[in-house]
Amino acid sequence: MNERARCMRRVQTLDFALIETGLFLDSHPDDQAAMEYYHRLRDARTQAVSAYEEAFGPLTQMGVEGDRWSWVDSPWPWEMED
Amino acid sequence: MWIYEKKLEYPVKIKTPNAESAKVIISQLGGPDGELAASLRYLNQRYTMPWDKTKGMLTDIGTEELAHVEMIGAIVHQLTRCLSVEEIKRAGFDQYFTDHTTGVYPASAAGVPFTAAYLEVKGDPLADLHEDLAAEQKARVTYDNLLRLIDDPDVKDPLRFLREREIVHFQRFGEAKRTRWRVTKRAAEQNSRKSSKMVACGCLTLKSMVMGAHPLTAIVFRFPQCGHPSSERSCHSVRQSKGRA
Amino acid sequence: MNRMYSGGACGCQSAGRPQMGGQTMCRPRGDGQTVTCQPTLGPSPELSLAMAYVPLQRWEALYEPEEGLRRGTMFQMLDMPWTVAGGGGCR
Repeated sequence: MNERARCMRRVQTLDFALIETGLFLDSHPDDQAAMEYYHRLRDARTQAVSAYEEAFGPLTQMGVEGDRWSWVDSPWPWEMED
Repeated sequence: MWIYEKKLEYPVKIKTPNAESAKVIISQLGGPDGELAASLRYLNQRYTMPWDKTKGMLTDIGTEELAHVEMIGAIVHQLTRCLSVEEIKRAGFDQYFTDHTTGVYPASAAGVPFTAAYLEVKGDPLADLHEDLAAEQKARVTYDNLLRLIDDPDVKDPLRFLREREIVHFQRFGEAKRTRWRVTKRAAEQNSRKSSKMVACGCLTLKSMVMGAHPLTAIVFRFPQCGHPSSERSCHSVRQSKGRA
Repeated sequence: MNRMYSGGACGCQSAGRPQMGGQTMCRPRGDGQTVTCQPTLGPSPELSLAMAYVPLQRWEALYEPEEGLRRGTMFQMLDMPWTVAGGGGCR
């Protein structure tokens, strides 16, 4: 796994945990343990996204920096990285 | 609204193209129990759900299903890379290829184009949530069948992930069905005085349900379909001008 | 969860024993105003007939996030993987 893939995997891991926690909270909105987990994970996720975007480019349009629209750059998610 | 994140929910890295596998996996994109049907079903059902938790659940699961639509698209795209004409013919992929080349077109494994007839939005919370429970089981079965048919571990891996999501979604819809609308006594008293007559602006109020009644016997819903904030006042004024129902 | 008319609000509990051969609970009459002690609609006030129920999951037994992503769920109790079936068994 190259560095980009490793960094992407970290974001996917934390995002998935947040999606799963969010679905649980949809039917258990007052669950304190779940809320605490959500907050902890969200902080870790913010850092992982920053690390990825700094090295490899934006994950959302809001993550574009500099003087060109790097949003359009490859690879797009469905493409094989070679 | 939706923001796009430039990543897949779960990685898809398929080293070996295989048109035969693509032919069947496409059903989870455009087939009767596929991810596109799921996302449109849930996202359209949420408008007539009376409970906040269920609105949230349908929004979030519907959104996740869009991510699954993308994963299936990625799988089919990677399976149909660099195919030779011989490979296309041998795999029986020639009919799809004729109409779509190696484009990703939402259709079933049998070649039937996607249709909204695959989903239901009944506008009744109980019916809709039961529809969703059934949809998740049917999607799970479809993934079971794909896992039986396909050998490549690169393909099986994301399919296993998607199958497990169906099981989790089933649990969530089951929990959403447990939601009760906490009717205050005052609201119940107000509702019970309203008539069940359809009024000119489309507002429909049924007899009230108070806690303890079986959900199937008497249900309180207000359907302001007039599309403007004063819809409830419009209903009242129409009802009054027509006389007490 | 609390029900508006549960327990002894209408005197069901104070009667001492279930009436009419089964569980009872305080339920409203047709006018929506009066509440009387009537039979429940199923095995218990929480389980009506003609309804399907899924138990409420608890927040417990989580995988680490990496394992959760691999398995497709963070919750060990919802992890129900597909196992290979041989097929052709009826011939």
